[in-house]
Amino acid sequence: MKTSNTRVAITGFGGLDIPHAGASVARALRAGWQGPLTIDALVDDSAMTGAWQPGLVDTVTRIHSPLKGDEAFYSSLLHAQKKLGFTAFIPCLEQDIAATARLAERLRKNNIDTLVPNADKVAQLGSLTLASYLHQHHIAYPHSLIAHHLHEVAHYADHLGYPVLVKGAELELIAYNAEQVLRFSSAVLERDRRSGVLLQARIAGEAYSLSCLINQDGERVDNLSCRKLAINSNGHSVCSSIIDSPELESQGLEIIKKLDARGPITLDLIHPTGGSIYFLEGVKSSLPDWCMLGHWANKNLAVELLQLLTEPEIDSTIIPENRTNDAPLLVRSITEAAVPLDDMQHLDRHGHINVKEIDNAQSRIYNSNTSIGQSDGVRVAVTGTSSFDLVNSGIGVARALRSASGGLHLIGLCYGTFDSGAYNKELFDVCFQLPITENDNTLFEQLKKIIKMQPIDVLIPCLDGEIPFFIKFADELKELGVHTLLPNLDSFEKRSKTQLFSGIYKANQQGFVIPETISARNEDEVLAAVKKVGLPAVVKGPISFCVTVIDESQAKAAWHTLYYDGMKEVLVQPMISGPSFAVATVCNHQHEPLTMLTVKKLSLCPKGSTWRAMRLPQLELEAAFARFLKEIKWVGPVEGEFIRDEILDRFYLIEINPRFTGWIYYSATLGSNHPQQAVRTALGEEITPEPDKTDLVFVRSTTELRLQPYQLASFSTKGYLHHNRIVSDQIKES
Amino acid sequence: MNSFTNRESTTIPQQFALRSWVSLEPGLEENEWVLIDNRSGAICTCNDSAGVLLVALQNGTTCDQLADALTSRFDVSVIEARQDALLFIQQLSGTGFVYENF
Repeated sequence: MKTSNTRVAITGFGGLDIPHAGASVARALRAGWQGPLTIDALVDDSAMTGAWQPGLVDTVTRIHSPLKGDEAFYSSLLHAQKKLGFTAFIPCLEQDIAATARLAERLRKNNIDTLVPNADKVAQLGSLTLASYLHQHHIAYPHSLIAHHLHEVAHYADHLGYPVLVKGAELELIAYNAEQVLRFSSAVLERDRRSGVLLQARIAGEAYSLSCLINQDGERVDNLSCRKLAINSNGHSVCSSIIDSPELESQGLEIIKKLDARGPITLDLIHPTGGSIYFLEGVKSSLPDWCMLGHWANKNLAVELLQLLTEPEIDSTIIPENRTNDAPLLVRSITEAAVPLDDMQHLDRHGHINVKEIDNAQSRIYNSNTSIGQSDGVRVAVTGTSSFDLVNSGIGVARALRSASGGLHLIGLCYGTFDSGAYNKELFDVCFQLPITENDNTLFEQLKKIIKMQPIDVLIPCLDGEIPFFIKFADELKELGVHTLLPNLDSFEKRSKTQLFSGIYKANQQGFVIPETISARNEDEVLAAVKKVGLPAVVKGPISFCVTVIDESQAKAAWHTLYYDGMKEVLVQPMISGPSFAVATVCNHQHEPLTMLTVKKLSLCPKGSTWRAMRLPQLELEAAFARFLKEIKWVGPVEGEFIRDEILDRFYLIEINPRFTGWIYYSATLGSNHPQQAVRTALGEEITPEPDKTDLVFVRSTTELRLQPYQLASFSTKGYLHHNRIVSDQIKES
Repeated sequence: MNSFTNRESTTIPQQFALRSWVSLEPGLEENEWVLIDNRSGAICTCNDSAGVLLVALQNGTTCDQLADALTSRFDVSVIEARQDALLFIQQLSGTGFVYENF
């Protein structure tokens, strides 16, 4: 056990829903390093939410991104090192690794040890230059083309076929049609036209990742492989499993030898169905974003890398494996916290902050050793437990309820085997799978079976599409002892986009404005609508999707994309520019909001989910929204989304979500705890909501949950999974 | 009797065992098991009777011993148990999970 403190600086704490590897590396170091350890997060933006996870890093310091030039990056790194005293540096972003490689000698002279490939090799292995290198070295890879201009993109994508992987520096997306390709490519080229955008054909097969650590002499120190069991629409693995495949290892290490790597290197490989060789989809000269999986398998590559950097004299040749017989799996989930506003502002103004333990007095972790019997506490079921593609609000609802006082028993109702919420024993005591079906009676029959196995007192639906179902069956559920807090169908329809923007409501709501909207049912009507409202405009589906268009050709493409997705009617509005706001509330049976919580959204991921937000009360907006909800006779949780026009300084209503919002855990940290209000109101209690604080910022980041094979097996085959000790005869298959 | 050696012929029963890359873990509830192919990451749920056989196969076993394990645990005839054990081994051999241990 080491006694002297080891201090390491790490980059790569951003990425939002496509997280960079820094947080995972820090987590693996925190879990596996023996002895005192200080981790310094180096960020170029205080919005890098991974750095704010409680207990992960000790300090956060701003440095210049290499995009501002090597000298700016170098001098800010040196300045940080003099202030903090770290001797090891682990860059986790492609641009940081490239700059570090160029500056390696100078960094070493200033006592900053790092292990990266040489600069020439990094340049050859960049995501946009890799295909050429692989071709020269006879390494199999999917057909790839680089476009430097937007007009080339569609042509190349059509040539490669759909789906197609679209990659820029630190950005990538699986695109299923031309509109998606163009939109994403436009964003990539805007950032860096010189490098272009890579388009890569997708190969059908099994996806794997192999991570290897090579020392300065080119010797392999260790390696680890995993299989990607589930991949989301970003091309990102949501569930992975450690594997031990000699064939994969042999081919992967052969590739690594040809790449002449130094330091950590992670390969993304695909094994075509029926094929014999592995195709290389991507290479990163860094540790993977699944480092914790290695730690659980007793092969913590992050620890081994830090050992190489800080204890180079120790023999690092491969020793026989002492791998656990466990076959750990990883499922990617999200974690949420509230960070003192002062800390964020201090980082912005002074460039550095010592991160304190986030005091979240409301987040008592439920005692998992407590026997749950039917008489202990209220039993609340929550849907919307997935973070697979979008972060569903059930996760935040469960977290808020868990942090409330009282012995709640939380039940997750999940629609997918890879719903991350199902495997989070901190949130749910037991989870059940619901069928994805359009037949309401089938769904209700399954729900009845679940209720027979596990009685429910309150049910909180968290997905837009299922609200009408739960409204329809509210009385039947009540007869089964299940309380809900829902509006009637008429109120539900009144807040739908088709009614909201149909012209039946006054545009000026004395606190917010309902924007001019024209509905369109074909391409000609879309073009006519765009001509009328002007450009830029937004083309929206009645339930979901929103596309910004700046010219007629984009408007046509947007119509075709939405039509292709099954929408027969779209809504066209003028685009409103300005910061996004949201107002969340819970209305009682008298249609009165219990408390209003208005936030300004500080960070949104490309899919529109909120990853950082700050409470900013807006009394006039809140009063207007409350009047509107009373007018439509709303009952239950609801969220209004607004944009504050940056020129006119007016709030424009974008949409009304008929359920809790994804960031609702924030209400628990501030004091009002909306989910708790909803549960108590559903049970007929009169409540006096707590007032909200204003000095905290909501922050969300990704994390890794460990699951055991039996959990995945049970949930996928039997449709339920219990975490806490349940008296076994309470859960019986009917 | 072997006419060359004048000794009784002896037959070594075939032994079968799970491959080293296959592991067996208890399931969520009693009498449930999960079979994991550590090469591919594939996971397979197993019922009680499969679990009995797989536990025995972890350390190497013969078909007769597998049949005994079934008859001692379940209400099944020896013939039926032996047939089931043979079929199970054939299926596992087909997937490469089991090999003959000489």
